[in-house]
Amino acid sequence: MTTDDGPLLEPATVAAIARLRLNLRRRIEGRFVGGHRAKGFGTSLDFADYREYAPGDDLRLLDPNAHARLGRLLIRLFQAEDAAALRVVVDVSGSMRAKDRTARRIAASLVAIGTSGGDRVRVLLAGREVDAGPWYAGGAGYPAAERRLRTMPPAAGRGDLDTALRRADGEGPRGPVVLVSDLLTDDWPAIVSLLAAGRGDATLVHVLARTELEPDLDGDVRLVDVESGEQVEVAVSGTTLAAFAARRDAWLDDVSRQCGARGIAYVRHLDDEPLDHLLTALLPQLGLVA
Amino acid sequence: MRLAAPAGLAALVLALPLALWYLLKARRPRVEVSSTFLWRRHGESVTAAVPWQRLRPDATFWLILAAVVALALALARPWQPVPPTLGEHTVIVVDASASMLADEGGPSRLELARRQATALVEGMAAGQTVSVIEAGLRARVVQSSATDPGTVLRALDGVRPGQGPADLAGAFALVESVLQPSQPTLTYLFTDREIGPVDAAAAPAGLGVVPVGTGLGNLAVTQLQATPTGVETAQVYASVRNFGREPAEALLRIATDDAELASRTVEIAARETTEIVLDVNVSGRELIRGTVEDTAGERSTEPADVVNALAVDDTALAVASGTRDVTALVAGPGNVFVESALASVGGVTVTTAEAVPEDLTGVDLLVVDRVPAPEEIAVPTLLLAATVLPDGIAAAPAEQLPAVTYQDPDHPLLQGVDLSEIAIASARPARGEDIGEAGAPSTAATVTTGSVVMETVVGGPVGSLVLAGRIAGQPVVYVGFDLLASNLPLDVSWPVFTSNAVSWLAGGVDSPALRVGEAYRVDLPAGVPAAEARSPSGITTLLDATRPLLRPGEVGVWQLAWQGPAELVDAAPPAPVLAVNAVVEEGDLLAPPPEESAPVIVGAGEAPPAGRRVVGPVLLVVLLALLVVDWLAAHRRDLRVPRLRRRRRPA
Repeated sequence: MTTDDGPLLEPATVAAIARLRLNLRRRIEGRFVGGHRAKGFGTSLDFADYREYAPGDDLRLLDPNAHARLGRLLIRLFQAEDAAALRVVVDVSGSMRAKDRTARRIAASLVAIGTSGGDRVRVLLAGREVDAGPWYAGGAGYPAAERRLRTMPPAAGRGDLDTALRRADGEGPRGPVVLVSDLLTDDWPAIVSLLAAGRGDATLVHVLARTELEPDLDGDVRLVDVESGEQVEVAVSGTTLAAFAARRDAWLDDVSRQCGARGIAYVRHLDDEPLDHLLTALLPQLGLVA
Repeated sequence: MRLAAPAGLAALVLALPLALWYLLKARRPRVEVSSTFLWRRHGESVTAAVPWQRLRPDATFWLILAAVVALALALARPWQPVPPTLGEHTVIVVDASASMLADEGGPSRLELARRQATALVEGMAAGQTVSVIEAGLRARVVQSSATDPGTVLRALDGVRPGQGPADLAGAFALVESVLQPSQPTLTYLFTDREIGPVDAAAAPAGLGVVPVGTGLGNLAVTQLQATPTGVETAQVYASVRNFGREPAEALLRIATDDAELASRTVEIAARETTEIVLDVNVSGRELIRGTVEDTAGERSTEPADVVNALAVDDTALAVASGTRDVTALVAGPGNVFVESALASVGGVTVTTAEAVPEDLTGVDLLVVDRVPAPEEIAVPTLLLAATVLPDGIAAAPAEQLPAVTYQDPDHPLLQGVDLSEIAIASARPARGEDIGEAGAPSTAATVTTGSVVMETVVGGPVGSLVLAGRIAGQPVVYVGFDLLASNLPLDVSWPVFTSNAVSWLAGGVDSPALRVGEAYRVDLPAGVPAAEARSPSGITTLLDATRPLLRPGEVGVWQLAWQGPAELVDAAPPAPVLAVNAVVEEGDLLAPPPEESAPVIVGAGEAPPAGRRVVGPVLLVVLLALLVVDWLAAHRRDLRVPRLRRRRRPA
């Protein structure tokens, strides 16, 4: 069963975000030449260092000024710039059902931004099993990713974010990781720690539904967790709702604080907020895109 | 408390599902949420394996349980036994005395009694009978053993208010007459006064008393007397009593049928009597009317503020005897006290003689002072220690220092006269066939011997000292002691007594002032066989020698008219006019009311079922109140989660 509700992004939105580029804080380790600083020396225009000439080196790299000054044959070395290998880990557990489409749209947006900037993007779907998917690059990358995201099964069951994050960081060259999740799980601190432990830039797009944070409940109800099946009886009263709000706010602050302490770029997005604002305002503020 | 329908208690079984509702885990509506992560601390994780939970009763549980109990009790129709209101036979006695005419802020006390009795009768069931007895001046059975409520209600409407005291003893006797031994009977008395000991002794067994009315103030003219002081003048003596709790200002008006003669405003302290003496001009014999009214104008109708609640005693009547020229002949050795006293009475011409002449032509009043009286009395005669008495009166041997222990307070001779302090050296008490020997207890006695009808006016242990009556149709006053052997001539009462004697003997018409219900003996003139008494309302009563007593039942002027052959009637002196006034005691509307008591079934046979006071409707109200409280308690305002704080910048 798929959740194909039509294109995830409007063509106008795709065109608008195509002008954005990934903006990474750390050096990457790419396999392809790109526009982001990478380890080692490469063929960018940014001077990096000198090295003694060895037979076989490209003579065009000899620095005549250095020879004139030092009387030695030195060649110039330049910064390596590789294409970033962006991993987007999308939580597709049962708890993400309410904001499933939002999460997919965010993932599709990041694919559009990455592929249009010459970078490569991989979307890992963290469901019961991790669906890693291919790397998307170039002009054909977004359509393929969008098609995959649009037709994937609906969010359900427990999500294995742990495995997804490990695979995202461990497989392939060093690169940024963006986690799109609601973190509505008891082991969310472990998830955040794992995200921070990656080799590349880490970003958490905390996706939540308005109804999750401001539920409209009345009377005595039995809440059923769609992901775990857990049931909790709640007698809704003013006291109960006030306590829920306090716990909600404390949790959100805690997530934000832990992300900040671990160097994870954190942004919260609610399902009823415009996606454009996230992509064109919030993510640039984070420094993820520019 | 008993239950009329115990099966209604089966509704208590509704408490079981209520308890089960709280014992079984509530099947709360399922709401799927993304995660219970944020709710886990505020709810209770449950497992569906165990269907019950510990009973945790809350306010709603107790309210609904109380409502279930109230419903069960209401269905069981609890009732309290109360004394039955109506028996198989119920006798209703209604006090119809003058005090029951008191205005209780609209209805009279009698009307209030009627209403209460009506409420009683409205619960009359098939097979029950009700009798109604009116306890007025003369008790009467208004309705006996009526079987339908309509008849009883009409009988209650037929209870007539009286203007005199209630004949409770007579009413109780009538109750006994309507009782059937085999019929369980309840008897009610609706009255505004305590039952006196004499009437209480005659009360039927099991009498229930229903008090009627409240304490009210009242003004009354308790006495009115007009004494001629001249040919066209009279002195009016009136006493006005304030029966209320507060002082009152009253206006007393003295008037005849044609004109107002005088008026005076008086302040009367609470529970006090004020006496007023006024000089008025009257010509001849006239009816004097004394009326009192409250001068304060409109007041509130609160019982505490009512000053004059009874109208029947606001007016008193008296007949001014009027004077005529009287020629008085004093036969005797001479008595300056008698002669001067007679001369001081307006219109009296005094002549003297040493003995009673045989020809008494022109003599209107003969005074026999210490000389023999004529054998036959031909003119009104005052016997003052006459040495020889006329036929019909005999005198006992002289008694030394007789004491005066009896005075007839209502006799015209003693109006304004008090002889209790008179010292008499010796007296010859009258003796007649009906009067005991000297030394007999001083009781009123009547000397009746053929044409002699004399009544004791003043008496003592030795016998009658002053008699008044008629001998051969002529008024006669017998004084059994020598005036000069007493201090009566020196007493202030002497000229008044003399004036009263002149009026009574020769003043023309005997016009006594009576109270309602007071017996009046009609003295038929010689040869006149009967007299007709006409009440103020026009009801006539025939009196004759066999029934000479009249008990006037109405306040007002009663006219007597001789009945018989024309020549005898024309020759007879004018028939008296009776001024009948209200009974003073009936005006005391603050008299203690009776203590309420429930009647007791009297008579054999199966007692009627006890009365019931059903409690069920109260329980239904309680039930409804509990449900309303529960609904109000359960009503909640809309609850919303406090809104999420907006972040200014991403972290």
